[in-house]
Amino acid sequence: MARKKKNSKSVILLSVIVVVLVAGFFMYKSGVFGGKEMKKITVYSIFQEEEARKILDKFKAETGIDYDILRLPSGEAVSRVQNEMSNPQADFLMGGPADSHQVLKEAGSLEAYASPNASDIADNMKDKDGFWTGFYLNPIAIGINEERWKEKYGSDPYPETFKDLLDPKFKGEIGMSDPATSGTAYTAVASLAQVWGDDEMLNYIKQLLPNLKERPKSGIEPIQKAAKGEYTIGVTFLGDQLKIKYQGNPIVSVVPEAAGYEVGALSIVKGGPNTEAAKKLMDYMLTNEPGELYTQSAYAVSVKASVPIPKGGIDIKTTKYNDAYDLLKAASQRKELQNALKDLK
Amino acid sequence: MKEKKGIGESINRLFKDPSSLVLVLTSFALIILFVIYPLVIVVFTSGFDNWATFFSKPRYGKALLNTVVSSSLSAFTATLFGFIYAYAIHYSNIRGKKFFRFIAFIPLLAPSVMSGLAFLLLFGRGGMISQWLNTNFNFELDLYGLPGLWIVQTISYFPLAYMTITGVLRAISPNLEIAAQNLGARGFKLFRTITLKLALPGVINAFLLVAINCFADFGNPKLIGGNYSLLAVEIYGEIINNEAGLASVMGIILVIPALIVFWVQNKILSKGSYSTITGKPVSGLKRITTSKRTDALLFSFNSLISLFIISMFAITILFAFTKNFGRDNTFTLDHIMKVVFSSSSPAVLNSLVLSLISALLAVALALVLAYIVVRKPFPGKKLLDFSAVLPIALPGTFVGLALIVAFSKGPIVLQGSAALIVIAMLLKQMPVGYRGLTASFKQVDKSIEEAATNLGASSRKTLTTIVFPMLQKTVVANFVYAFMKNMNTLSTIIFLITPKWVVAAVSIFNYAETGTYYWAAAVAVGLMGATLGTLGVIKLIFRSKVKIFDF
Repeated sequence: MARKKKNSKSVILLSVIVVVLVAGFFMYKSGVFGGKEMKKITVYSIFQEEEARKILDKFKAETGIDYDILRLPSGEAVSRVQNEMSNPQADFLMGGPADSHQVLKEAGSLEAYASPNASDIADNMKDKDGFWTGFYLNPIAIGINEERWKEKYGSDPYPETFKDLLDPKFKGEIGMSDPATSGTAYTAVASLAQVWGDDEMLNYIKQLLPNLKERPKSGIEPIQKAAKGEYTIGVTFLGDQLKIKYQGNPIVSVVPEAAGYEVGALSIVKGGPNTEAAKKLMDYMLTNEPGELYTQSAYAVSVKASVPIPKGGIDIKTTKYNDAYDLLKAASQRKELQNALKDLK
Repeated sequence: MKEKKGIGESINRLFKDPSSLVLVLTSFALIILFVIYPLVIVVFTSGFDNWATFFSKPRYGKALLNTVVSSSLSAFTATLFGFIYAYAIHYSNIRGKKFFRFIAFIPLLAPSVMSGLAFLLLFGRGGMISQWLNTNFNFELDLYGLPGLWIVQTISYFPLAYMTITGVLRAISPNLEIAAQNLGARGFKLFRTITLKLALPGVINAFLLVAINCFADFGNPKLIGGNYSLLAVEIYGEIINNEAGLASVMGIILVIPALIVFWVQNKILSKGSYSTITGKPVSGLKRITTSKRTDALLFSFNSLISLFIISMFAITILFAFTKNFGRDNTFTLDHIMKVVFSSSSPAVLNSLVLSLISALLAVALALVLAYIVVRKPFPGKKLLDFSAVLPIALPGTFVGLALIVAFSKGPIVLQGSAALIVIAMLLKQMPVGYRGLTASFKQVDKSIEEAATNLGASSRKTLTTIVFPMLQKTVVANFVYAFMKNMNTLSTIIFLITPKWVVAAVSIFNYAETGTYYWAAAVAVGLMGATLGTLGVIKLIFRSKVKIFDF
């Protein structure tokens, strides 16, 4: 009998402890302790979580603002933010192509904020009303498998321009994803259309087709296959090429003239739980430290001139890339151009 | 409720006992809100257009076919392995049976997606074994797609098959086997005509259970399925694309085979079972032993499986505690500190808290439901009973889908709250407890409760002082089971996650998918530690009353 009593007492004691702990946990979660300044900021990250956390840990050390993070692919992030408009869960959207942020701006899900640190960013790399701000850019490049090049073409010079790729000697040696399905390839041709005009771009692609070994669906595939030696040249984003190069593959990259680029952007979610902190984070993101942290691990180029070129990266200011590339125009033309491209063959 | 319909007697009695009335009404309200309402919404959301789209696009048909093929393959091998493994433990004279039992228990500590992770670490593109093959034999191992999925699902669901079959083998009385042996049956003939025949219903049951789990598995197909598309993954894609209607169509298709299995289990298997007739094993009688050669074969088989499981856990632990295993083998606690013990990364803590709360609520609700269904007369009992067991037949992916579709719009919005995660876990585990507790209630003699009532105890008092103490063992066992399942669930809650309430299984999946393997491994280790620690505490409290760590 005595044992039984002891047992029921310990069960009661345990339940009390559990209830107190759980209640404390929920209060802690909802930010009851520590006042408003310590309230966490909630981030949807399209960056790799490791890179985002590196930046956010520094931000936390500097401002004392702790964070919650959920990494999502860009499409999922867009639909989440839109679905949550009646009850926003996140404060800050980190990374992802600017087009995605533009979609959210048009849906009315974003908060306009022109950070003082954004003043030195070029106009075509940020929203004119401050709904989103560019963070990095990643140009289209021609990636060449050095070893296969030597076997095939000896000491010939590498192709420097898109038009160089039309040389008949490259028949079956180039991989470029299908601009009708891949965002990467579409960026390349949209930029050409802006520089050369639509018709000349279409004409160019038509002439290029015989040289293409294949047109895979995903944007990164051509450089993966070129690295394996399935063909010599892959047209992809520069960042992907450098990443594969530093995994130990013989890749040389050339940023050709009129190369377009993607802009990775940042934005603040409208009506999020902690918009104040989100603005502070936006200011912080546009200082040099996060720019360096990110561009170094992702081999991207910062939108800010003050951020140094990452080790092993390419200084695109020395190339003739299309620095006036208008991504909004590209987005608005997308359907029309892709339909025209589908008719080629 | 229709109240004026001849069943006045039971209603009258109910009204005289207000606490029972409250229990009955609450149970109905909860079941209607969280089981029936979401189901109805999903069916309405699916809509005719979406059914047309589903059947007109070959892509979805292919996903359905792939799902059926891969689930059947995996379920077949998992059941086969589980059977051989269990047979070796219960019928042979091999050494190390305790060890083998322990090995089959370990995978229950980790989510099934951890098998996927470990598989990637060993056989993936940069995996240890693939690299070794590549450098030494110039052989490129590519198991993405069906082969890899088959292997991983076999391994991660083999313990489930093993446990189910163990129960069946234990229930077979040696009497029949000894009788057959006396009549001259030996070796394989004895096995085929007696053991296998007696075990067959249970084996089929195990196969169906595993098949349903594979059918709804989300994490492994997403990680290693490659271009081999599967229904659960397609549903995820449609939810992301904001195509709730199409997702609902696929969800309903996912449910159909599960319901068929549920029905088969209830109707056919309960009739065709031989094992119950002979009752419990008679003590003192020893099983016929296997031959030395069979023993050797069984031992090698079990060792091979054990080796596979051990290496999966070993590689995960190695990744969790080194800088970047294979490239930089320096010991470090960095990963653990960053993703388990950091305030910015509360996934493991979230898992622990939500799993405990949900398991507690699940058992409490199961207890109340079982009590009123077994003991109290009220109208609509059959409906309540059916709806309470129904979620057991629903694949996790579908439960998650139904909840997100029902509670992201409409009169009640719970999206983005932890409540929805708790409810999702609860719906999957409550029916298991409900089934067990209904059985236990039926075993407790009603006269004891009636005696208490006659002495003036109210319904509540009877419940707390008489019934609960008698059911303690079942309650604790169900709580432990629900807790472990909650800790490891992925497909049920993948749609319900918010940045504040990321749980460990989802983190493991996310990190594995983006190639941050050491973090995935660290979270997996943290999760297993949390599960083990909690089980340890429960064991300390209940001592011999609960069966944990008994091999």
